[in-house]
Amino acid sequence: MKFAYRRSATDEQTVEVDIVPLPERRGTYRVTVGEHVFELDERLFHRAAFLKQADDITLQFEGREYRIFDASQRRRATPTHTGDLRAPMAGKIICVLVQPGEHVKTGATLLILEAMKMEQQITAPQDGVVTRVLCREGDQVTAGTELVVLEEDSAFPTRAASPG
Amino acid sequence: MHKLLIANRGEIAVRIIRAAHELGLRAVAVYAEADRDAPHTHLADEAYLLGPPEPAQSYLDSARLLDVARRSGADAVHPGYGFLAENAAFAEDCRRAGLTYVGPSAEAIRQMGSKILSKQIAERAGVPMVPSYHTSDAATLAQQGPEAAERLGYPILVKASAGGGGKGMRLVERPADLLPALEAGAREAQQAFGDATLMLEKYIPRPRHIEVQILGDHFGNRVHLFERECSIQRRHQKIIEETPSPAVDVALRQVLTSAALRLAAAVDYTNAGTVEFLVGPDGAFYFLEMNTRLQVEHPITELVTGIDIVHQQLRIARGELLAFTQEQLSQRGHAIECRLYAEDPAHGFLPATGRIRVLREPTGPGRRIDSGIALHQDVTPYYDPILAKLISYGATRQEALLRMQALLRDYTILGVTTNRQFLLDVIASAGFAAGDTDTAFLNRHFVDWQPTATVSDEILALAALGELLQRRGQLTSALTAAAPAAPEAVLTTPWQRYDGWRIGGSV
Repeated sequence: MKFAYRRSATDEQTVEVDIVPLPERRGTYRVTVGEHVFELDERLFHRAAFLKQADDITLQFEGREYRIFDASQRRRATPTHTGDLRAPMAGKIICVLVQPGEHVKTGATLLILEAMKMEQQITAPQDGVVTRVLCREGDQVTAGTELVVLEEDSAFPTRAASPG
Repeated sequence: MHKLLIANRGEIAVRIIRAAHELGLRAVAVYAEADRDAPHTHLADEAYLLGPPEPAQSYLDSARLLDVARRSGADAVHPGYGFLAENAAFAEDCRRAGLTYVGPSAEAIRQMGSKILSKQIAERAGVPMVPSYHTSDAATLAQQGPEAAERLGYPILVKASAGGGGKGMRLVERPADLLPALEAGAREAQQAFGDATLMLEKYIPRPRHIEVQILGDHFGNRVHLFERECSIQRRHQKIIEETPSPAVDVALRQVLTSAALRLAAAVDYTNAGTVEFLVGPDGAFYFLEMNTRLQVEHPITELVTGIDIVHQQLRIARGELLAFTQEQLSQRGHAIECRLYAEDPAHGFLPATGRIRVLREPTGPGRRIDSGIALHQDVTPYYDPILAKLISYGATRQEALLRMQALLRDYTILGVTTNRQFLLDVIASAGFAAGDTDTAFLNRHFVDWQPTATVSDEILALAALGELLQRRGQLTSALTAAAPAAPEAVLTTPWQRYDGWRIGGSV
């Protein structure tokens, strides 16, 4: 899964962060930040705490509090997230992130499908309104199942990246 | 006394409800609409809605409070601190309504609540005052001022008699500057207060704020519970307190505590109260004021004396004799308190609001947390921004300091801006470690404080992991409060199951 962050509200530079689970060790992940690669255990969140509200991330770790800004609104949908609103392969819906009526922007994650122990983000191919959600969390779906219906909404302006 | 109404909210209401339960009393809470889901509302045996969030229509409305007391059948009222806690009329109204007021007499509240009267009484009781010179006449002041200033000793303060808040106040370091300061001060005082009258006061450089805790019963017995130092203040409000004070030795403790007891005796003081002093670097001390109520920072005294002050308040109020003498009291170890506020220290300590989304209150040896908040609670702008008090105890000051640092690091609250990191930096500073504190400490060392948290690549990686876990629902607030778990292990406590589990058998 890929994220794009800024280190402060005024930072123009976006940092791409890529996180993939390590299949051989459950609960551990390889996280690539620029040139640095980290292996992190999810049990770190015994000590760390995370909160995301809109584009604003707060992280507390070892007594310090960090503010990080989600820059993904600036990002085009990456090739790994084709924006196809059908299940690319058989799997389990592990997270539904939108509700009918919700406005979404290009690249926004609509739901997450777990297949072959890997996660796939189903992202919006264009700005629009979610008119129907055809699956629920926990559903097993087969390849090609339609998951979300999105209607183009050209009247809905794309919001600029939040100044924080 | 069998049913206690707690006329307060937040951490102090929680503290008093627990003490009431421990002594076998029923507890009645009151709440404003904004506090419908606050912990104090749910902890009491009964809770009554007072009205809208605004204090004047809720926690400050004595008529509504007395009405709740009548409806609930309460026979005693504890005012906590703030709100109506130092309101002589409320204490009087309670007694007139046949309720036991957990606090001193209305007369003692009135006497100590008056700036002028309290100083007169203190002076008569032989409590040292900041030396000053008064005259109502500007011409006399100009004429006699230089001589009076010499007697007081430079540096001196020129102050507006009518005022406060620093208006008309000037620091004068040498005789040549006195007359210009009097002229400018008079103009400023006239503008600010419509009264140009000035006074001269000896300036106490780098004073510490040190106070003495008093307890008195209704049989004339009175003890002190030693001192607390509360010099770490922002905008004249305490944020860190400790006991014993690093600046108080046996001899100073002796004179401070006996002065406090003399003042308490002068107003036949009963229940818990605190006499506040300024202490100069030379050990000279001066009366500030007396607080006729339970103090925010009372827990540190409880930790070093082993006396539960709220228990004692309730016992005294229900007519019991003090169960210990002065000789039986001693200070053992060291305690520090930090006040966790919903405020932004990087922006002038502006109050912050928001919903508490993540909350971890760590426990362990030498850690006490007096908290008034809960997960998912909204922090509103209506009241004092105190969220919780973090209190550490150690055999030595060093041990208490180390524990406080760990407590501040481990305490986790997200969703509302707090002063947690600021407190941590102050506690970890060399100046505080050395005990080199006075009331201007924060202005001197921390005036331009910013949270210096550089976002490293490692932190970005951790954020990505957090975001991934949150999207998967593995970082729900409950989980955050405990630990991440494998998806199949998430629903392990009965409270999170949706399959019809119930206490005492299935549906």
